[in-house]
Amino acid sequence: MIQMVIRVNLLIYLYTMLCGCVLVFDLFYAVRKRWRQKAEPERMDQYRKILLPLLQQEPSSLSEKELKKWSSKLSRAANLLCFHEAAENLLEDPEHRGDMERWLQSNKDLFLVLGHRYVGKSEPFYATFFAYLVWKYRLCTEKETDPFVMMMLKLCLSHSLYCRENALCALYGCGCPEHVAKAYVLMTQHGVEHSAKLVTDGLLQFAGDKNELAEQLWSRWDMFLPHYQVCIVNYIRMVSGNFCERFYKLLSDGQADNEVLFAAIRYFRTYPYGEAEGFLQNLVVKWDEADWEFAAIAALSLEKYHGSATMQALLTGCRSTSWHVRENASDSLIQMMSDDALQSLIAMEGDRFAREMLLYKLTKRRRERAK
Amino acid sequence: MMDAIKSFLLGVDIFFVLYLIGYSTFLFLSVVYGTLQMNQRRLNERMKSNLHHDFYIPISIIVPAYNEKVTIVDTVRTLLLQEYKLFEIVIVDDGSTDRTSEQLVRVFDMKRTNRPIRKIIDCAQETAIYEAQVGKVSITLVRKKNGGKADTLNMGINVSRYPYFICMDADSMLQKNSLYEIAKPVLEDDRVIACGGQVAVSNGITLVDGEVKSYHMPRSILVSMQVLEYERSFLASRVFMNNFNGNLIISGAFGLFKKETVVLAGGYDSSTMGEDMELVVKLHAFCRSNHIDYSIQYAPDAICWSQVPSSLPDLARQRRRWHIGLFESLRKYKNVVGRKEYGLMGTISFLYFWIYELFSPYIELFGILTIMLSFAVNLINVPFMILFFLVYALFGCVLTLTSFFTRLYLHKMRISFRDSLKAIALCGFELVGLRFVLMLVRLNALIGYRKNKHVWGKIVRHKHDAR
Repeated sequence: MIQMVIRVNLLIYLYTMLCGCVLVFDLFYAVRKRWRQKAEPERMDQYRKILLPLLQQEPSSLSEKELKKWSSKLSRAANLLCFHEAAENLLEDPEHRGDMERWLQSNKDLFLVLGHRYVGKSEPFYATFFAYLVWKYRLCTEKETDPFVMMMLKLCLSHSLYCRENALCALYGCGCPEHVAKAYVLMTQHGVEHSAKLVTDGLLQFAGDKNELAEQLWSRWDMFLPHYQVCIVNYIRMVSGNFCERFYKLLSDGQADNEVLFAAIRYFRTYPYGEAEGFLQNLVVKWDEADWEFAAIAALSLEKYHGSATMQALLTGCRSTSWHVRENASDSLIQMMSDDALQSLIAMEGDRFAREMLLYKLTKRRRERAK
Repeated sequence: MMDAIKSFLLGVDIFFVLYLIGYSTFLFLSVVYGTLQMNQRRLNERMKSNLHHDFYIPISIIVPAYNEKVTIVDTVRTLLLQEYKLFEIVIVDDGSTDRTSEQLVRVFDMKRTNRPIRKIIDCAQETAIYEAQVGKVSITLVRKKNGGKADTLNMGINVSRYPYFICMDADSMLQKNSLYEIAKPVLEDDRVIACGGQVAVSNGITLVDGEVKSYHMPRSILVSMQVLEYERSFLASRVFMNNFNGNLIISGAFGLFKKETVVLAGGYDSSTMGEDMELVVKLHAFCRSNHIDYSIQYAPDAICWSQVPSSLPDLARQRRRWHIGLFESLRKYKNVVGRKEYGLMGTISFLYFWIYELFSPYIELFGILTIMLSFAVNLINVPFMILFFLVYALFGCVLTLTSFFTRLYLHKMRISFRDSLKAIALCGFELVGLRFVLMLVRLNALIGYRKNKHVWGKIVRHKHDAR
């Protein structure tokens, strides 16, 4: 027993010492970090002071010696962070914005050197930060062989979502539709699925001709994963009404992925297309149990297709066995009818579910109008 | 006889050394890992490894309420301050007797409607539905027959319109960026089906326009000790378990869920007291058994301020419920432990909860009885025992304080020097005092637990300090 106590004793001391060492390390790390953070505003101010006289001079590239000095300094992430904060301040200041932009454009070589260092690091957040700088400093050009574009295309394949997003933003910012289309083709080829919401919203940020981007994406349609095809249709829905014929063909072929077809049906809600009307009505009236989503989305899209055939189809939708079809069909139907017409329709309606849904929607509309 | 006692005590010695080393190592690793992770998050933010989108996904916020007239209006008001583009608020009144619904109807000018409800999950019958529109946010109030918290949440899911829902307690308040922060993991990873937020004790804060304006340690010693306990448990186990998709608890006070998956898994289980833990464990089991690639995340920056019990009887009732909930969930999914398809979640998380949460009061009681036996037969090394307790207490205090101060620092909150001293002084009491009392509560928790299953756990509510 005594032996056991001694052994346990030793074990506990050893264990406590080990934990103590790690805690001391943790404390040391925290204090060091705090100390560094305190020095940062001063360092940022130093960069500002260095940059200001440079901005007053004629824009020219840094000499080889200066380039070496700058790149060696900015190779440390902490320094690059302070430099960026100083540069950002100057870019936000209307008095210096133009000069700062010119300085950044005339010293792309510096960022090229930094790019090779940061993109090659194993932790993705270095590359993420570099991509962010390329985006914010507008370093990409429309040239196909632009080294920054090449770097950003490579970063689009990163496993870090943030890195991909910043790289894509840099490409959107340069306004060249070919670069953006190429990025998504590459991502498809490498099986990289970027978040759908980010892709659609990102495409909408595109700085160049949005219609041209839509055409470029369509011209490579078969090269994209269905995941990206959905985003592309959603993007096109926001920017162009020129795709009715093409999307109708896609829809009537029925070969595409279901999610792509849903997106195409939504397109016809934003841009009514006469030829699609009958097709949409059919979707609401005749559907299999497994295809209720087609009927539900088509019911919503029909709100823009006024006419007795559509109203009849929507009324059938209101009596549907699917809750979603019923709800969407009643939403669309209510858009087409006056309060009085609806009131009499409800009074004559034999289906209890349809009656309840329409009555609720009518009451709600009346209340909103009264408000 | 003496030899038999010696052998028995030797066995107990070995067991406790292993037990405590296991526990301390888990706690230690998770606090160190959690601290480093939180620091890394801040660095990532500075290095732009972050998303700055102002809209992610439409969210329904479900607030189950039962006799919450003191806090419900403030809670809804803080929800209306959320900086989030598209969300709705669904309050479900589970047959309150204190005019909770009347308060809401009056303050938000709600109108009774005949809205049809799609019952995708079974729940008690609704008695009335009210709606109002405040700015861009639609508020729905459903009054229903009393059926317990799980049943109320199921009604909320049925009424909600959006693909993701948040469940939160009626006595809780969100910071104005909380929805934004809790939705982030969903955008970052399509596989996320649930995400838990950080629940912090609201008893010492003042919220103005959805932002913390002042923070101090609560006056009550009992509440202050719970502050320390919350910080330790959230920073420690949740951040650590997040690493291997092993979180088994998303607090009922604040969690985000993908509606489709919850509905497929069957919604909240009305037959259990710990419906929040049961749902998360059920989602794990559902996704694993159906080979769904999924992730359950914890978002430490999504903060929900929640009231904690300010009296010992209330605290005891709350912890009793938690312990029963834990027991029911672990027992229901006991087959998960050690099975290959459940991975680290099935071994580390489940074993941790079985050994260090569910059985811990019984093991601790067994330890105390053994010490008494050792005393009786004069086989105890008293100086070593005291030293051991001191080292263990010091170790626990350091970890608690590390968690507490790390979070204050990372969330840029400041406390006075006096409050810092109070935290340092109370962490020891929390370890030997509160923990001991809660051990006794948990020891008795399972006695007669089948009674009052559908009864809401009630604690005395105080008005929020929110403006």
